[in-house]
Parts: sequence; structure tokens; C-alpha cells
Amino acid sequence: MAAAEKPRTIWLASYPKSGNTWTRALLTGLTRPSEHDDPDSDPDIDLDTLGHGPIASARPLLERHLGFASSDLTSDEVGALRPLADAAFDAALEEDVRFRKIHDGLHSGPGGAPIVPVEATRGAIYIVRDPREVAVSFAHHMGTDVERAVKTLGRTTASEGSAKFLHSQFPQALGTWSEHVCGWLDHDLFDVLLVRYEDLHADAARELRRIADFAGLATDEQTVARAVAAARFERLQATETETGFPERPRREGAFFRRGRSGAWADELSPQLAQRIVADHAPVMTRLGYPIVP
Amino acid sequence: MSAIAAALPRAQPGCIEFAIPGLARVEVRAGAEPAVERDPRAADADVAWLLNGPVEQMRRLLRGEFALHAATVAIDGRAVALVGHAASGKSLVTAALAQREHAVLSDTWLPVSVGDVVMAHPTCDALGLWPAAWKLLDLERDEGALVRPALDKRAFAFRPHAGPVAPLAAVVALRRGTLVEEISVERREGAARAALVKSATALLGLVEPLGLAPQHFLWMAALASNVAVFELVSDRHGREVGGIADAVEALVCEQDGRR
Repeated sequence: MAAAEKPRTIWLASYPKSGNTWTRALLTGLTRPSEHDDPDSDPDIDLDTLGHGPIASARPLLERHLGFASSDLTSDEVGALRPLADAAFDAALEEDVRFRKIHDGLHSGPGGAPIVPVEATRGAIYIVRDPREVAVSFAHHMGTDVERAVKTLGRTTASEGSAKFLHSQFPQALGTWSEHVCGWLDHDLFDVLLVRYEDLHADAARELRRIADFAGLATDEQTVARAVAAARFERLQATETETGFPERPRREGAFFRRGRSGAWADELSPQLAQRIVADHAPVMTRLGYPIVP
Repeated sequence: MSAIAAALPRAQPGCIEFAIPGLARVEVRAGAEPAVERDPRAADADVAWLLNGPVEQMRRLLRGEFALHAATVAIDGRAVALVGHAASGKSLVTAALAQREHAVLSDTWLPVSVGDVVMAHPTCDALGLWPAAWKLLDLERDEGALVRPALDKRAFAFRPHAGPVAPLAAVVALRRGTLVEEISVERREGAARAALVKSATALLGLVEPLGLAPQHFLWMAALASNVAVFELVSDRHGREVGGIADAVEALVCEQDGRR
């Protein structure tokens, strides 16, 4: 009997606004050569074709395998069929590894089943960020106030996306921020590498090397350095200004907004910060986020 | 949990099988009534949707009848099929055109026959729209009929009714772009036309396993050769559906000018 082929899909999983896009930009810089003749130039980061893809919640992927409109399916039906489409997609891949973004809670399939096909998953890189930062960024992303964003992080029924209009992505069930983190970290379904946004800020090259090792990507110091340079915040921000960013929602002013770590105190009141700590202290402590004022 | 496990459509010559958990497992065979194993908890409305929608599409495909995944209106008696990815606005723009008294021919799939004239065969006169679309079009919820009990989407019927068939005048692919300042319409020629028609084929993934690839190629070639194909690009954040409807009407007039 022939040995089963190793899955190619590595999920880039995160709660929204936790650094998933930056990670994809770094990986794009690592895995795609520069289009310029100058071998010393940095790779080009095209925001329209960022990071492999497609996102796990993309409608077109399921529809390609269904053959009929997915908009007539219920959320439970979609949740049961998505892993099958993802498995078929993985089986048809030709490259050695494909990184795919996902915001869904891992166990958001019908009855708590995994929303990804376990047998067609090589692993996951889970990107996490201080929930106080997430709340501020999420508020800007959704065009809402920070208090509402804080409540969303604490709501078990929270989801990204709406049932009131048809979007190119399925609604993604998030759970609370703590549930999302623990769901992706506490299981034995496949290997998971934890990456903290704050560590990416402190030393992106070190974190990118960790990611490359986890994914089995051969790399060198020079390639890593160029990828880090190509994906630095100012450059992504300038690219968005020039060509736009297809993943920016209508309500968000700019997707690449501040690019800083630790700035939550500028925009989060002490009361709301305390609320986040009250909701998520155990997981924050586990991840090394200070919970004292 | 449903006893019926999910299964994506699989095909072999003469047969298509698939299963939607909580609803039904279905086997569709050429020349026979579909075999449906219904989940005991499935609502009648859900089963009706399944049989009149995906199953009927599969039955027709097994008979060698190809269709576009399209929402379609007839403008001055000629069918214009709007195709594109999910959420590209096919039903919404078609509804806007229907409000201008153009007859609706299809919402999600349009059988097309190729012969001396390429003909569009209507499948419905109602369009499935979500609450945000009702608001944009000033439609009242109660004017629409339930599509499936668990969905907020409702089917809105428009008048006038379409006739039995209409010549297919144009296929228009709706695309949403980034930082698009003005709606643009470009005519597609050559290989790009055929590629667009191919990608818009309903149940495309089943064509080859059914052994219908040669017939599909001929159908696709005939359609691409005899029907104008356009790509219409608008901004992904734009809400100006009227402007897109204007552009679709304008390209039909342009077609008149060319004839």
C-alpha cells in the first residue's frame, strides 16, 4: 500500500486583528523571489495576492466543489461541507506547503467539530496578540466604538461577518477571545506553533525563522532579512495607499493603521481595560500579557 | 447530529451523488427519478429547495444540457446573463434591472441551448435577496417568499414574466475591484471569452467525471463564438447598484448599434 501523502496545508490562524496579515506578508517575502533583476533588492509584496490562500471561509472554494450556489445553504450545512472542500483542495495542491488564513474558531463546525479537515492539515501557526490591542484595532476595523469591540471579544456567540447580506466569505464563528485561543492551542489534532504579535515586533527575523523551521521551509539569513524589510509596516501602509487592499472592509479607514505594539492605553479607557482583564485574565497570563495596570 | 454525513457531489458517467447533512442524501441517475434519502428532521421547504434547485440542475446536466451559473434578465426581448463569483452582485443587479421592468429569466442557473441561435431557457421569475439588498432596492420583507426556513434570504418575484425562451445576447461578468473610481465595461475577445464562459458553467466540476467534456467544449465554443462577452468592474465597497444597471442596459444598446 502506498504511503499516504503528507498534507500540504498549514493554517495561519488568529482572532481578527492579531497580526495574521503581517505574518502572511512576511511569508510572502520569504517564499516569493524578487521580481527585480537586482538580487539585493527586497521582494515585492503584492497586497492583492498576499499569502497563498484562499482564506478558509472563502465561498468560491466551496462553490467550486459544490457546483451550485452556497448562499442557499444553512450555516450547519456549510460547516459540514467546508472541511471536505478544504481536503479536496489540499489533495490537489502541487506545492510542498500552502499557508491558508483562518479566523474561525477551530471547533466551530456543527456540534463542535473541527472546521478544518484534520487529516488534510499539516499544522497550524496560531498568531496571538494582547486582547487590549485587539479590541482597539477591531473597533477601527469594524467601524464601531471600542466598548462594543470589548464586548465582542467577551461574547461566545461572536462572529465575523453578517447574515444580513451576502459576502464573498462565510460568517466565521469566533467565540470569545479566550475560547478562540484555547480552541486552537489545546488539542492534539495536529501540531501548532504559537507566535505572539509582540514577539514579531521585537524580533521579526527570529520569529520568521521559527515559522520557517516549523513549516519545513529552507531559508537563510539574507532571505529572512529581506522578507522582514519588505514587510515592514511603513512599506505595507504605502502600498495600501497606492493600490488599495482588497481585505479592508468598507468601514475601515486604512487596514495598515498604526503598526505599533503596546499602544492600547492611548485609546482604551481604564474601565474597558479592566473589563478585558476580567474577561480574559487566565489566558492573558498564560500567554505572558501583564494584567496589572 | 444528522445520521446523513456530508458528501460533496461526486460523479461518474450517468450518475451524480451528494449529501447535505440534516437534509438528504441524493443519487441522480440519467433517465431515472432521483433517489432521495431524506433526513427525518428535514423540513418540506428545504427538500423542495433541494429538488427544484441543485437536483434539477444535475438532472439536466445528465441529459447533456449545460447551463450558466447566472442571474438573467431579458432587455428588449434579449437575455443578458450576469455571471461572477459569489457575492459579486448578480442577483442584486438583476433585481435592479427587474425594477426597470426587464423580465427575470433566472437567479442562479440558466440553461442555454446552442443551435442556429443561442437560446436562454428561463428557470424562475424570482430572485433570492438578503436583507441588506431589500433595503437598497426599497423592497418590503413580506413581498418576498421564504427560500429556506433557516435563511434570512427571501425570493422576490418581479413582473413582467419572461416568455419560454429568449435569444442570449450577452454574458456579463461582474467583478469587484479595489480603488475603482468608475465602473468600467470591457468586451472580451478570443480565448478570454471562452475561458469566461467555461468558468461560469454551472456544475463545472462534474462535467469531466460525467464524460461530458467533449460536448461541453462544443457548447462553450458555440456560446463564446456567438454571444458577446463582457467584464464589468466596479468598486468592491460601492453601493451604487443603479450605476451597474445603467452600464448593463448601455451595453445592450451598444449591441443594437453593432447589429
